[in-house]
Amino acid sequence: MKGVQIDIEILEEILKLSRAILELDFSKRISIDYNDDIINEIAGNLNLLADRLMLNPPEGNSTEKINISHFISVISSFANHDFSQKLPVSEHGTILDAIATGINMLGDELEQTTASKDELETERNLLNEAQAIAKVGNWEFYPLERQLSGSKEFLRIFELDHVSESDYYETYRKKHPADDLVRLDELFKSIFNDQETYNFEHRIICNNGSVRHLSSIMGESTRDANNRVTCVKGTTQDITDRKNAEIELNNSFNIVTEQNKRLLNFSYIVSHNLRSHTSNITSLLTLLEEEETKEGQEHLMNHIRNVSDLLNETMINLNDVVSIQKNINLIIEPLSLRSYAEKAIEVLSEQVALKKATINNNISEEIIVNYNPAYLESIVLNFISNAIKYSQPEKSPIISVDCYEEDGVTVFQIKDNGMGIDLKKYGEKLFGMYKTFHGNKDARGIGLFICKNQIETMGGKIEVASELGVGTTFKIYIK
Amino acid sequence: MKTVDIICVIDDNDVYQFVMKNSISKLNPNIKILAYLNGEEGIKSIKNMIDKNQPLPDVILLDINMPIMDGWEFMNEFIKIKSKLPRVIPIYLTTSSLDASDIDKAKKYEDITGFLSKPIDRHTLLKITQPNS
Repeated sequence: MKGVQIDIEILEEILKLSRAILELDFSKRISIDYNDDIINEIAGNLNLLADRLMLNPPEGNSTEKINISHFISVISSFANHDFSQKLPVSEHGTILDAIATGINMLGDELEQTTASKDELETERNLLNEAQAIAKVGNWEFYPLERQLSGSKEFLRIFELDHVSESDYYETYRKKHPADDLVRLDELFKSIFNDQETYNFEHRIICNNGSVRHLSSIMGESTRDANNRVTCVKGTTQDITDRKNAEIELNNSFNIVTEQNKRLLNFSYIVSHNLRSHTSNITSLLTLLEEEETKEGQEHLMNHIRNVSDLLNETMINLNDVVSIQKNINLIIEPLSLRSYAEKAIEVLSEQVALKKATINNNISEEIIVNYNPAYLESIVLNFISNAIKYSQPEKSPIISVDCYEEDGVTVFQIKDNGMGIDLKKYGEKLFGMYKTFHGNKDARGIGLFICKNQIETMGGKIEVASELGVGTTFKIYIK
Repeated sequence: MKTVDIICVIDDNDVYQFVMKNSISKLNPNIKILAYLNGEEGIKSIKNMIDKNQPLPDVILLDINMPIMDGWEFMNEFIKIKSKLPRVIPIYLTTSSLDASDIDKAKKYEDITGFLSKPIDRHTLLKITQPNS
């Protein structure tokens, strides 16, 4: 851009001088300190011409006059980027011939400059296109001025297209979530201390609220005499698609892992629990066959009936486990968490009275969660019921049921002052199937297992904190 | 080898406990059976017998999966008091389904005599209760 502007200025100067000569004013001169040798030569030639004419004013030499007007029209056409016209050069080697040769050379030179400028423009377009396809932008950061500039694609990635250039850096920073910004600022600081290049991944929040994942490379930095970094260059690639695919892949991996775990649990019930019942029945039947007294037979029959009931219960549990796996398209409805907690407390009113338990339902009435109704009922009931069941013998249970936001995720929390659980010892088994820990007679070891699976099926997770003799807090994250 | 007078059954399944009591007493009504519903009850009782110099069990039948203290945890505790025992007590792991990982784990315990698959038939019981025959 700069080059062309100067060229036109020179052209105007040259035109002015040419016109003056044509008007027989030979007093004007132009400077010959342009950056371009050829232009200087032309300017010098024009000055020489003026000198010559001043010394020997033409006496109506028509050929020379025609030549001068032709040469003005050629120079004027240069201003319109037309470099096709050429001045005739005679064999006489007059000063005008020299000027004509100079002007012709100027035309060629300008034609070339324009062509390379076009070429440059084409290359820049290609680069922009390549950057847009690869979603890679390049940028320059000037730390001393806190200024940022970048390619078209860089501006697109960071949505800076409509931001004024002086605000690029601040806008760029503000688009990062807090934790990424801390990392970014630290990285910029550290790059000032050494010469290494850095790769880093970061995220920005787009204007429409979506998250964009980026991978940036910080390249070489330039320093001033005081060894202060004056400029850092780098590139940034938008890797959102790749990242999302990665996340998707990870999710499906987790789903498969979870399903595999359920399958293992399933085979565990089949192999262990069902077999333990059937082996008991086999043993009881052997005893029954040998039993001679009516009383003893009756007694054994009761045991067989008992085992049969247990077998039935195992089948029900088995069914529960299988049904979690099958429920891929669950109905999800907006539900009032508070009223579900109230319902559960009502169902448990007998146990509450028996244990003299206090249950504080602190859930705000406005809280609505999108959940499967049956799952929510099962989860709320199970955790409150556990909190009552595993109380300390000498202490009336105090249970708090809360709901709050944590990093944008809804958390349903049940906190008790019960006996607590040794997580170091049982942490891994806590949510496993048929794991019981306190030796309670009515502990079935299925509730937490089912709940955890229901929570995970709904895309959430569960966390537990506990201290023996102090109490337990379960946190259920609702997606 | 000493005759088997006392058998210790550590298992949380009370039907199994009942079955064992019946089956063993049918084989030999003089054998005393000590029943515990988990490892903790079992180890506490054995420690108590050592302290009070009471007769110890001659065989231990140990379930793997139990609440509070499972079979493996019982073994870890048992090793600690082993030196106080006047003689070796054979310990059989009893399970309704044998897991490959359980077999591997059992190899690490030299005090585990073997595995017994539930239901334990009369022939096997006979072998345990009459080691000399």
